[in-house]
Amino acid sequence: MEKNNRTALRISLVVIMTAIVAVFTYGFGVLRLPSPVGGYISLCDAAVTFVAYAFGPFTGFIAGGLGAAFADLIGGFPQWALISFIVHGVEALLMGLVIRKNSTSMGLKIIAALIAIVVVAGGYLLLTTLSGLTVFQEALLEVPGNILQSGVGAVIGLVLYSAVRKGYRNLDDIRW
Amino acid sequence: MNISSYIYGTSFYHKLDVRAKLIFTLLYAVVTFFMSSYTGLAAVFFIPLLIMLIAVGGKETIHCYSRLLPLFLIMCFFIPLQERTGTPLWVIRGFTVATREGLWTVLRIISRLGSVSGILMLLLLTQRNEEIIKGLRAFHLPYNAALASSMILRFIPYLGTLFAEIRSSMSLRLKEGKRGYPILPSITALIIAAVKMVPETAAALEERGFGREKMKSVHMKRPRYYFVQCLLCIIIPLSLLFLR
Repeated sequence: MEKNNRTALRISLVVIMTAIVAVFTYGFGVLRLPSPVGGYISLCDAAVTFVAYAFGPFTGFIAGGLGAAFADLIGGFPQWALISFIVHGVEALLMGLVIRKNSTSMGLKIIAALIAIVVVAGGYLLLTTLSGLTVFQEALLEVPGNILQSGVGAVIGLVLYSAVRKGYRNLDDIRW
Repeated sequence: MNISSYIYGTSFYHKLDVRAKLIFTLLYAVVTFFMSSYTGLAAVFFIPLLIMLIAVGGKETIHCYSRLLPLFLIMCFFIPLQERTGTPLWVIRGFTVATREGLWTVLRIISRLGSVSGILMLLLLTQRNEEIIKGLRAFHLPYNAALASSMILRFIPYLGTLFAEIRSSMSLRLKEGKRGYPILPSITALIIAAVKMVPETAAALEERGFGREKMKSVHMKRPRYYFVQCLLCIIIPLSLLFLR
């Protein structure tokens, strides 16, 4: 029974965090800006960073990847869903591995933010080109927007973690 | 708040069984990448467009494809200028604007992107999300994954509505004459509300008997001509390979 309790808690945590990442990505018209090259810039990475930092790399990987993929599916960009899943999942996984729980080291936070920038900008550039859905030159145009989105997102995500922890003290109890 | 793309209709594509449709979508998306002739590229691009026109009408089709238009325009502008080696097609005062190879690359990428997006959008426009999850369950998607997917689709609009409410209440706290809303306090409040839901949702799952017994696999009723539908959904995309 204990095992079931943990599984129910894990599923609930992953589901709600995935929905949070999807809401931040989808934006509901207020949290996202249309990109001049067809996609959009959103606060997706802020949510991904928050989840990775607050709940660890594995929750981050599933919630970050699935949340971005669901947002693409419901937002009318289904062709990018798989790529978003990989890019944002790996981003959360690596960030979660670098910044451990309650880490106060500024150096680690900067490294985590740099990882987010490299994974998002490089990941989209590489995967959209390799998938054959675009060409390198066109994918290159997306890089500045992705750098901006992931860099700003990582900083907001870290600020969010501190703010949420002040408002909800039991945050660490539901981590697994 | 509605996040479903489903549009009610009575077209043949709406009536197609979800399992057959999933097979068709997957095979079609894969076949798209094997096209290496102009006829093949045109076929894979226009088939989803045509089915979409019949199934959901012109307005929705334009709405779906208009999202891709900026990407297509960028490709048309940039790719021929970048790829200038090969047989010249358009030369202005000694400057090669476009080559046969550049044109081929543009058309290939536009066709792939258009057909993959089109076929995926077609699935989402003609099938309810819960039916798609049920169809995936029939293809042995694990119970917990299906449960999580349907819960995610339930929570996204709920959290979206909650965010709209938080935003409205935050904007009321601003000084008179000021417009907008403070972003950081609003998203912080949204996350706190969401995190508080986690133990409650877990308890609700347990109350409903989560994990107490082994879940049965989904039994979906087979419509008339189910095997014919599946067979056609395999044959049609594969037959496109003859055009490649």
